[in-house]
Amino acid sequence: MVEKIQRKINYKIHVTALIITIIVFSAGIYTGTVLSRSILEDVSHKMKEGTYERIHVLELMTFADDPETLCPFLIKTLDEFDEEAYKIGLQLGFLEDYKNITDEGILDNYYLLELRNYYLSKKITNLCKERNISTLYFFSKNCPSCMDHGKELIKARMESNTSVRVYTFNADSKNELVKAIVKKYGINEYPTTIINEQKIIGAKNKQELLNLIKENS
Amino acid sequence: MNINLVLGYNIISYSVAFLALYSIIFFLLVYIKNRKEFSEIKETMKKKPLISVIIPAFNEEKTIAKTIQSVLNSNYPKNKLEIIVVDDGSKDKTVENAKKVSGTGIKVFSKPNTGKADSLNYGIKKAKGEFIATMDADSYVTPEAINRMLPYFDDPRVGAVTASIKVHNKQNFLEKLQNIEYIYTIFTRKVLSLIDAVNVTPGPFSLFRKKTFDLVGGFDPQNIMEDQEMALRIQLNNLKICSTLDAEVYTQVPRTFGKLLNQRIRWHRGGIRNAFKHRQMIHPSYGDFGVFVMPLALFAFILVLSIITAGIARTLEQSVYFQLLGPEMLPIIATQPILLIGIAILALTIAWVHFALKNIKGEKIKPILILLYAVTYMWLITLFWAVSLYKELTGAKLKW
Repeated sequence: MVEKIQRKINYKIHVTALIITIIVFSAGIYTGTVLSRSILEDVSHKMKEGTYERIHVLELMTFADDPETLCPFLIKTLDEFDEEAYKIGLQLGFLEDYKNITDEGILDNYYLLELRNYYLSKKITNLCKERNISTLYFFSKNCPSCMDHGKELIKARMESNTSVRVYTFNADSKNELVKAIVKKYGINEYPTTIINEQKIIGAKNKQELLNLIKENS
Repeated sequence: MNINLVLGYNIISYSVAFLALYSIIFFLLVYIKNRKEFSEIKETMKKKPLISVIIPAFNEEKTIAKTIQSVLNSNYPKNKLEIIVVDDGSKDKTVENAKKVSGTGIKVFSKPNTGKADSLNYGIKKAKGEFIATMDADSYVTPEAINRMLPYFDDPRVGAVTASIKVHNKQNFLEKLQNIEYIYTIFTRKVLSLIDAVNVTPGPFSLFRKKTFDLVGGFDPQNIMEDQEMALRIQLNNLKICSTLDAEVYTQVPRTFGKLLNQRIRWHRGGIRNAFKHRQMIHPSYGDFGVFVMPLALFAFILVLSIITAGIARTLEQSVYFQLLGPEMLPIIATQPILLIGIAILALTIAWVHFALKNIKGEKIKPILILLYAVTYMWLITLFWAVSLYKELTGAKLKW
């Protein structure tokens, strides 16, 4: 004769499995976050070192007997500084966008780094008569089109034939130096891009930006 | 960056990861709790009842004789075995080759082509045995298999017993991967049987009490996955399905990628339809089967779809950073929590295969192949699911 089974729910196993799952899951999130934070620390450390390097280059320009002879070195160094800041910017952006990891202090330091690079590039351009397009890009957190504009600007920079130096600033920054430059250029709409002193308001795509770069070179 | 999109796929991928982690830990715990049952050897059943082995065959001239011969080679009294070959309107020499096999108790019936399920029902009607085995015409039963399956029926609640289906042809890489998959499945099915949640009585070889069919009805002739639908109907009627680890039956698996893809499309599409058909079992009165295994089977496709969309969205979004940053991106990507949880799931999957190999005798597989299996097969299965879902949603014709 066929009999029926009595079914049951193994609550004990479910509860144990749930506890273990929560532990493993949290451990994964915790470890991932700690490791990501350590990347942030690395970036912060790199930026502190970078400040001294930049001051050192300024000192070199000020105290050298014949600074023009240093031009090849200075331009090469400036390229490296720009590249470094660009990569740090991307890393910070990724950490913020995808992992929600952000640190006001570190971000402020990053915009200061951009400011120092900008200052240095002005000095070196004057001294060495380097032909380049100096671009300042101001964005704000409350600006939905800024992110896309920023990406297009990066693409335009990479595709342009002339040397384009892009310096990015968060206009919301509380930092006095950043505030000063925002005030200096009278920025109140976002995104605003300044290409060789020409002020461009609003989001542009890559082709429009390339045309603007061409006009100004 | 579109914050909502990022938030969306984070929620999806983390929930799916949580569920995957929970499932594998749950099943590992079921195994650990019941591990003694895995080494227990069942006493051979004292009495030797008549067993009818039904072999539906459609154009199986190459394998049918060998299949019949394997049943004849069973260590089971010859006069207690009835072999019923149901020729489903074959156009080749299936009938001729079946009749060539010499032995007692072989009956060959021919009928017009009506499909596998209908052929099985035809065979069941002809069968005289107290027990009925259903068998594919390209599978080979080992001599001790029947003796090892039968004792489970000492428990009057048992309606069916599944064999341990292994791969007959394991020459090329794809076949070797399927070999690991089948071993994995034997073990998984055994663990499922411990919580009364076996959801398929495999076509290659399963043993049923004749009374089971009287109670739940015959195979569904409209069904493309009739062996799975039968198991669900047995569960619906609250009978027990037991699984074996040592009743080996070898079956032919697809040799080429295209054939494997077709087979899986049929399995997955049939599986979704059957789970939907018997969705009333998603209920606490069906125990762990009702609250956990059935919902998992029914919503598996939603999970897979989520993984695919979230994965594509994530890759597209992050690829911008990849293009811009290059290799300096790697440490940031590698420390993403979802990736670490993924590694934990992978490690547990390998542990699962390890336990499977530990408990299934006579299987030696190189560790490197297990790692390859865990890494590559995951993607293959996702691909099979994706194609199946695409076909199911676009309403492509489902065929054998």
